[in-house]
Amino acid sequence: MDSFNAITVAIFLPFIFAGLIPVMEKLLKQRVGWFAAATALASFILIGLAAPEVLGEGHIVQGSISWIPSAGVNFAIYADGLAMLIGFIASGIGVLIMSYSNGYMSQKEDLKRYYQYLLLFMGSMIGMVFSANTIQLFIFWELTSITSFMLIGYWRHKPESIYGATKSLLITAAGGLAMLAGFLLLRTITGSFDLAAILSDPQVINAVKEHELFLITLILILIGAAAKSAQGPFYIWLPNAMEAPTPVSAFLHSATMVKAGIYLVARIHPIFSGTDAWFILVSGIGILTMLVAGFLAFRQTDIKGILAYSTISQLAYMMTMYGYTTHHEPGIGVAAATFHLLNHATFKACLFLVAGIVAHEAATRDIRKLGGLRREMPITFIVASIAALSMAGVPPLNGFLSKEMFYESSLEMGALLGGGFTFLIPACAVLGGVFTFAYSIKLIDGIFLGERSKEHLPEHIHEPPLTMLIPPAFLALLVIVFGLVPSLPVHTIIEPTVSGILLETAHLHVKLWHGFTTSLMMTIVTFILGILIYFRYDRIAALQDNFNARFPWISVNYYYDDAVDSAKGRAFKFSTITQPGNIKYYMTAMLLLMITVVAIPVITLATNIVPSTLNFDIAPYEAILLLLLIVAALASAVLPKYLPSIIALSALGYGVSLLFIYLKAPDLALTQVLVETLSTIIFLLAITKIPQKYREKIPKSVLFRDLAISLAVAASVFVVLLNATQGIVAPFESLSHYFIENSLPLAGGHNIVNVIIVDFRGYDTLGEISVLCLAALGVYNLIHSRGEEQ
Amino acid sequence: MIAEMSHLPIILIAVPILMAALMLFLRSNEGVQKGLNITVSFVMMALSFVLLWQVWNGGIQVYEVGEWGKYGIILVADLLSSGMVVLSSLVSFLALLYSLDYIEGKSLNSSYHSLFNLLVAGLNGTFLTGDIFNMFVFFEILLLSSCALVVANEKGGVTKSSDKMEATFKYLVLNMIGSIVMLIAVASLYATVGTLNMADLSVKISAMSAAGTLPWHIFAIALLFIVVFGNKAAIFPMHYWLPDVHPTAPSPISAMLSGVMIKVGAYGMLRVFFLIFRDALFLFQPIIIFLALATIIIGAVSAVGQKDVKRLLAYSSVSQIGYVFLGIGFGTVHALAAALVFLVNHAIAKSMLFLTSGGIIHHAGTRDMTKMGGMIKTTPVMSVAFLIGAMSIAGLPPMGGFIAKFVLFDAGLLAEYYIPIAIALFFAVFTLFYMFRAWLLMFWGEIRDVEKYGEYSSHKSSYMITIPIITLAALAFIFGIYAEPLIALSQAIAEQLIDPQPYIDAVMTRVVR
Repeated sequence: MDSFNAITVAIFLPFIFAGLIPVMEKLLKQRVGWFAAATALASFILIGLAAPEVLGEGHIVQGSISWIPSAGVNFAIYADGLAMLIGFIASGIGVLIMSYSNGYMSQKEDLKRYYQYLLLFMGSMIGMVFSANTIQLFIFWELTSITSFMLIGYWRHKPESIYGATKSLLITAAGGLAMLAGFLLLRTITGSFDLAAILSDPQVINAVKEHELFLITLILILIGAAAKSAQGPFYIWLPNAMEAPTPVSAFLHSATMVKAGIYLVARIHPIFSGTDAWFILVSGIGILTMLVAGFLAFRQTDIKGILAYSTISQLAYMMTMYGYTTHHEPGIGVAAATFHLLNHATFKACLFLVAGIVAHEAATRDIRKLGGLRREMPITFIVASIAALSMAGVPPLNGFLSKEMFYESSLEMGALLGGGFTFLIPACAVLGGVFTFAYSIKLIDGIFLGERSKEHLPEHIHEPPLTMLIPPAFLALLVIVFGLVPSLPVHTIIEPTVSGILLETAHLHVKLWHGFTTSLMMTIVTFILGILIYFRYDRIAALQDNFNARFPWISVNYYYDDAVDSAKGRAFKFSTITQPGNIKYYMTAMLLLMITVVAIPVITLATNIVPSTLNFDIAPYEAILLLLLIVAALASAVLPKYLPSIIALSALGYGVSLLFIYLKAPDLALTQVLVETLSTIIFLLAITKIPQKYREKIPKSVLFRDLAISLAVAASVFVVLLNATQGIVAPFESLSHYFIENSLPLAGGHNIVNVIIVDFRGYDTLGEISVLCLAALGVYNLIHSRGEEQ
Repeated sequence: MIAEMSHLPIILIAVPILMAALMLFLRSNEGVQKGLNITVSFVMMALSFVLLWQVWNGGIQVYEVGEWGKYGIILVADLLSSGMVVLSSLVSFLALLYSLDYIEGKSLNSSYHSLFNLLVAGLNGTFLTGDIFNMFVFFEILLLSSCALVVANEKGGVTKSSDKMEATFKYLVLNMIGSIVMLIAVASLYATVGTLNMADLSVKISAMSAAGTLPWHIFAIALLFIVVFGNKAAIFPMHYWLPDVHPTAPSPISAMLSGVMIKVGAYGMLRVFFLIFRDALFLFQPIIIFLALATIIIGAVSAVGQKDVKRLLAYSSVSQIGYVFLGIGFGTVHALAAALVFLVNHAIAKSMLFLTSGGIIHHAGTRDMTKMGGMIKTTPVMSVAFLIGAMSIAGLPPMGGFIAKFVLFDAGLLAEYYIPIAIALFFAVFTLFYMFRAWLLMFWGEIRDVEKYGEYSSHKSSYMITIPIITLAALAFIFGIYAEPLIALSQAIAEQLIDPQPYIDAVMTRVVR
C-alpha cells in the first residue's frame, strides 16, 4: 500500500468501524472496547506505513481525490512530519485510552455510544492533521468539536455535563466560524484553499504577508486556534469539560484535541510568522495564558481541575514558543515547542489516567480528602510521580529537556528583542515554570504523601486492574526513555516535524547534560522558587478564593454565564418588542416599505414625477362621478359606525361600475355591480353578529400617523399609475391588436373579452376557478374545525 | 425526446388540480382516497425528476397553453423552475405521507386531500409559469390553499383553534395587501410595456433601456416586486406573519410552509429581477442586502428567546431565509449558486425539523420545550433527526447546512462584501446557540417532572411518520458529505440566471400562429 492510500485508510477506518460498533457490541458484549483499541492500533500501524517515506526520506506525501470540484475543494492529503507527529499521538494515545477504558467504564454504561464517539473523534483528529486544504481541515476540526461535545455530555442527564458540553461547543464552534472566515479570507488573498500549494510557493507567502487583509486573516484564524486550545479568554471551557469520563479527558482534553489549535498555529507558521503581529498575538496570548492558568491552578481542589488548568498553561508554553519569531529568524522556538508537544502528550495523559485510577479506587477526586495512598497503591504512586516530576521539569525526565529548550528559546527571543525584553521574557518563562513546579508537587503530595484520611476514603484501597495500570505505566516509561535517550524521538520524529514547519531541513541536538548553561541556572531558580511557593500553596489558594468571592466580576466565566443565562430573557424581550402581536404594526411596516421603494426611484431617478402631457380636459359627467367616488371613499374611512361605513364602501363600488359604463365597458360594469351587491349583502349579514361601534378610542396622534401613512401610500400608487397610464412606450404596442385581429378567425368569438377569458388566457381562468373552489373549501374547513372545538 | 413527454410541465399542474376534484368525490372511501393520493403524489415526484433530467440534457422546455405563444400563457421549464419543482414535489410527497397518519381523520377525509393537491398545483404552477399575471393567479391559489390547510386539525392537537384563526387572519390580511401591490405592479407594467410574457417583458425593457426610453416608473414597479415577493418569503419588514402562522399550522403543513412556500418568494425575486428587471439590479441589490441582514438579525435574536419549539423553528426560518437573500443580493454567479444551495439545504433541514417537531409534540403533548427533557431515551429517532437538522441549520459539518454556509460566505468574500459577511457570520453563532439549546432542552437532562406534566406518550410513531423524517435527514447528511451534484446544478442555474438569453430565445423563437 502506498503512503497516500495508507493514510486515507487510517482516516476512514475509525469512521467505518465506529459504524460497526453496535454489531460488535452484540458479539463481544462488554469487551467491545478491545475492538475499538484494535481499530486505533490499525490506524497507528497504517500511519506507520507512511513513516519510512515521510520521516525517513523526508518526502511530503501528497495526493487527492476529486470531491467538490465545483467549489474548488478536493479531498486531499498533506503528510509531513508535523502531520505524522500528531497522527501518531492521536492514534497511539487512542490505543492506550481505549484499552484503559475497558477497565474504567462500568459494564452498565452505554459502551456502544462511548466507543463510537471515541473512534469518530480519533478519525476526525487524524483527518484534520493530514488535511491538505483548509476546508477539509475545517470539516474535521468541527467534527472533533462535536464529538468532544458528545463525550463531555456523556452523562447527559447531569446538569453539569450539559453545562460543560454546551460551553465547549459554543466556544469552540464559534471560534471555528471565525477560523472559517479566516480561511476564506486566506483564499481571497491566495486564490486557493490548498495549503500545500500555499506552503510550497514562497511568492504566495510573501504576498500574504504584504496583503492589506493580513492582520484580520491572522486574527480570525488565531481565534479559532485559541478557542480550540483553550487559550486567552477562551480557556473557560476546558475546566468544565472535565465532566467527561476521565479517559476522555486524558485523550481529548489533554493529549490530542486541545492540541488542534497548537497544530494549526504550527501549520500556518510559515505563512504568517516572521512578523510583529505573529509574535505579539501568538506569544502574547501564550505568555498571558501560561501565567494566569498556572496561577489559577492553585485554587482547584479536584485533581482533574488542577490537571485542566495545568493543560491550559502547558498549551500556552507551546503557543508562546511557536510565537517566538523575528523577521530574520522566523522559528526560534519551533523545535522546543514541538518537542514539548510530544512530551506533554506523554506525561499529561499519564496523569489523567492516574486521576482516573484514583477516582476509581478511592471514590473521590478531591485533593483535600485524598492523601497517603502511597502504601496502598505503590505502583500507581511511582507512575504518577514520574509523570508529575516530568511536568515539573525535573531531570532526567523528558519534561526537563523541553523546559530547558523553552528557557533557551526565551533567552534568545529576549536577547533579539533587546531592551527590557531581554529580562522580561525569560522571567515570565521562569514564573510559568515555578507555578508548574508547585502544582505538580501538590499532585504527588496531595494524593500519595502525607496522612491517609479515614473519614473520607473507603477502607480498602488497592491497585487497579492491569488494564488500567499498563497504559499509564507505558506512558511513564516513555517519559523516562525520552528523557534519557532524547536522540531517539528527536531524530525520528521531532526533526522531520520541525523541518515540516520551517519548510527547511532542521538538525537538532538535544542532550540530557549540556553543561552549566544559563537555562540550567534558570531551572535551578525555578526549583528553588517553586519549593518556596509550595510552602505557601494553601494560602495562595485561599487568597484566590477570597478575591473571587469579593470581585466575582473579574472573571471570564462571569461574563460567559451572564451572557448565556440572560440571553433567553433578553432575546424574548427583543422578540416581544419587534413582534408586538397587533396586525396594525405589521401592516404599517409593510406599507412603509412600499412607500420607500417607490420613493427611491422618485428621489434618485425621476426627471418629472408627474407626466408632462397630462390631459386635464374633464367632462362634467366625469367630474361629478369622480367627486362622488372621493366623497364615498372618505366617508367609508371616517364614519364612526360599521353600517354607514359599509354603505359608503358599496357606494364607492357602485360608483366605479358607473365609471366603467361611462368608459363603455358594460361587461365589466355588470361584474362590478354583481360583486358589489354580493359583498354588501354578506357584510350586512355579518354585521348583525358583531358590536355596532368601534370600541377602542384612537388617540389623535395615532390617527394623524395613520392618515399620513395612508396618504403616502395613496400618493405612491397614484404616481405610479399616473405614469403607467401614459400609454405603452414606443415602438411597442399592446397585445390587444393581436386579440382584435385574431379572436374571430382563430378563436371563433366576437366578444374579445370573452375570448381572452376562455381561450387566449383560459388557463388563468382555470386558476381563478380553483381559487373560488378553494375559498369554499376553506370556509368549510373553518366551520368544520370550529365544530370540533365545541 | 418522446413526443408525449413534452406535456410534462402542464401535467405537473393539471393532475393535482384534477386530483383535488377527484378527492372530494372519493370521500366515502378513505382507504382509496389515501392510497390514490399518495400514489399520484409519488408519480408526480418521479415526473418532476424526469422534467429536470430532460431540461438538464435537452435544454429549456417551453409549453404553450392553447398554442397562443406570447399572446397567451406559456409555461417555461428552465433549470431553476424545474429544480424548484423537484424540491417542492419531494417535500410535498413526504409531507403528504406524514399527513396520512398525522392529520385527524375527519379533517383529512373531508378536505385535506383536495387542499393539499391545490397547494401542490399552486407551487408547480408558480414555478413553471412564464407569464407574470399567471403567476399572480397561482399566488392566489397558494395563499388560499395554505390558509385553509393551516386550520386543518391534527390528531391530539395542542394548538387552540382560536390561535389558528388569529394567525390565519394575519396571514390573509397581510398577503392580501401583497396581492394588491402585485396587481398594481403587474397592471402598471402591462400598461407601460404592453405584454405579460416574462421573456417578452425582458426583451422590451432591455430594448427601451438601450434606446434610452425606459421611463423611471419602471424602476418603481420593479421595486414594488420586493414588497410582493418579500412578503411571500417573509423577509424583514414583512416577516411578521410567519412566526404566528408556521407554528400554529399542523406540522406537515409547517414543513411545507417553511420548506417550500417561503422559497416561492426567493424564486420570484430571482425570476423577476434577473430576467425582467435586469436594469433595476443596481437598486435592487443594496436594498436586498440590507433587508437580508435585518432579517437574519431579527430572526436569529428572536429565536433565542423562544420556548415553543415550533415558534423557535419559525423564527429560525426567518433568519435562514435572510441568508438566502444575502446571496441573491450579492448577485454574482457564485453568490446566486450559493443562495440556491442554501435554499435547498434549508428546505430539507427545516421541513425535516418541523416534521420531527410534530413527532415530538405527539410524544410530549406540548410545544413548550421547558416542559420536556430526557427524551433521548424515550424517542431516540426524533432525537437523532432533530440533531441532524440542528447541525445542518447551525452550519456544522458534515451536514448540508455547512456546505451552504461555506459557499455563501466564500461567494460573499470573493465579491468583497466584507461587512455583510461579518454580520452574517456573527449571527451564525446565534443559530448554533438556539438550535443546540433547543436540542439539549428537549433531549438531554432528566426526564421531566411526571407529576406536573404527565407521562410521555407511549404511542410509537408509525412508519408514515418516521420514513419522511429519515429520508430528509439522510438527504441533509448526503448533501453534506457529497455536495458536488447540488453545487454543480446550482451553478448551472446561476449561469442561466445571469445570462437569460437562452431563456429568452427558447420563448421568443416560438412561431405564433
